[in-house]
Amino acid sequence: MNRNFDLSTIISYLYIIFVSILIFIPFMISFWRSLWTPDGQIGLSNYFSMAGVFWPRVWLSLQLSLITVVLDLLIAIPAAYALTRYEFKGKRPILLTLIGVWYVPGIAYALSLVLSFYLIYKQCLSILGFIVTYTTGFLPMMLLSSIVAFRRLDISYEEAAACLGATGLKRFIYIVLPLIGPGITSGILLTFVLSFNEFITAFLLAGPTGILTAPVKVFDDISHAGMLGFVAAEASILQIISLTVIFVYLKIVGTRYLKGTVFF
Amino acid sequence: MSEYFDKIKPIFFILPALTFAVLFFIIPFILLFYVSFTQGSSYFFQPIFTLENYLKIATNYIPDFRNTLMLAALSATLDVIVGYPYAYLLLRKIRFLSDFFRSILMVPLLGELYIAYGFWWLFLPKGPFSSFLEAIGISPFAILYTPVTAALALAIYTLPFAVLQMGINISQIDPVLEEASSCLGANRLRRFIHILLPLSLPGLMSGWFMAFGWNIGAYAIPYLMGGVIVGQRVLSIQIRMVGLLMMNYGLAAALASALVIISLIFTFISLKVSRGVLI
Repeated sequence: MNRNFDLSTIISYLYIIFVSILIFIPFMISFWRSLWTPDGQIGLSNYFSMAGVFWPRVWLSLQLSLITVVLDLLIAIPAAYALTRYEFKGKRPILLTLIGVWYVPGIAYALSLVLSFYLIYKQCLSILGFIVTYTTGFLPMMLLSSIVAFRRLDISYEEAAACLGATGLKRFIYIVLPLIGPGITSGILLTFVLSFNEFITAFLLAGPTGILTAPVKVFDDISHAGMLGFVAAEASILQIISLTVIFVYLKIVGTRYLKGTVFF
Repeated sequence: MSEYFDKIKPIFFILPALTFAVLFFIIPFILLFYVSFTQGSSYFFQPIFTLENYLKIATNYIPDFRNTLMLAALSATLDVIVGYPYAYLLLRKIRFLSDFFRSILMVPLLGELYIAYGFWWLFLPKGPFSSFLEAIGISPFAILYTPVTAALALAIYTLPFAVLQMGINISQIDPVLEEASSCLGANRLRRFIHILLPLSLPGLMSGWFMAFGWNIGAYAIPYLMGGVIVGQRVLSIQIRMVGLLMMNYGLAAALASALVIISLIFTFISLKVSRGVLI
């Protein structure tokens, strides 16, 4: 039994590790750069020099993504429930309307929003604009995870409750929601991480609204002072926050609910 | 009465989500197409309807389209070449730490911005890679601001999307088929060419199209990798320059509309060849 020393397995692992390192290189470089202080030594001073201007932006981005997650949960779960449990006319056009935003380039979506905020939804030229943009833009992610979760949920619990006389709304609140909880955590994670790091729509909205989210601030600093260490520190902070969230999720929940969305 | 209520009940469940999608996705895009037929920023004051914007695209902006599509195609091809073995090995060979390697694929989801910055720094003077390049006699700048670097960075950004599409497809292929052909005496190469490749071709193509679709909308990576240089300018940068800096909303809307139409065509082909892997 020489399975452990199979040459092809070793080559497979080497290949997988090589690609994984390639994926990690951008993060490792910006982290490495952020550790070099302006006077050429290794230290953490880069992380403190920009703290005053940067932390409010991070806090803003965190709040925005939390609001996005809550709003998306509120609108995506009922929609996913109806799409998986009911048969009705026009299901496919409706689904395409809901997830269509995923299939258009971010820059075009952002420009269309800027135009519509100028011309139709004038009150959206504020933080409200970011909230509706993120909520609509990341709806497909939440919807997709919820649909996967609902498809996995055994329908017999709902049927049993229906036999015992529970109405549709009661079934939804007392049976479906408690059971679906763990399944939609993947949607929460992905929506949070994606909206926290959302760049292109936030970048185009930054001009009209005058609000800079943390990733846009990083990009701004890259184009003005990209060589300096504090920019690398900013980029590293955002990546470390996101990676920590992903890591904690994987530690607590594991990968099982991510299958069907970003896993295979 | 209750039967009628049962029929419209799903609409109630969908209504909140649909409201958001219609108000902030459908209507803005209708507006985008509408504005694309007006001259300059005239829509804001007194709309002057014209086809001039599309004529301008045909005469002046074809190179930008070519740059965008070439860059996206190059990086999508890289994705497929690197990602296909990755997806296959993860499914068939890797047992130990398999979930760990799958989780790593989530890292590029953090966005193109950080990948752009990391890559940019990699090639800058005093950066980690530049001393190596100088040692072998190549100027780092000669590499940094070329489409090749941009394609490499984009390939890292869109690798997860390609791997996901191909992985879903390969996981549906029964390993028994490969074992059977191996029993019948086919070597690795023949097994790959005659069994695996034909069966996984839909996944391969949908992976390519998926990566391509994400690539054509990228902004930060082309911006930092020489995408601003006139000869290499990509559409996303051009749209922002024309729209938000030169205030020519009509032309920017026309460019964006053309980009949307291209990406919808590619999405349509992708969904056709993959038979709807992702919904």
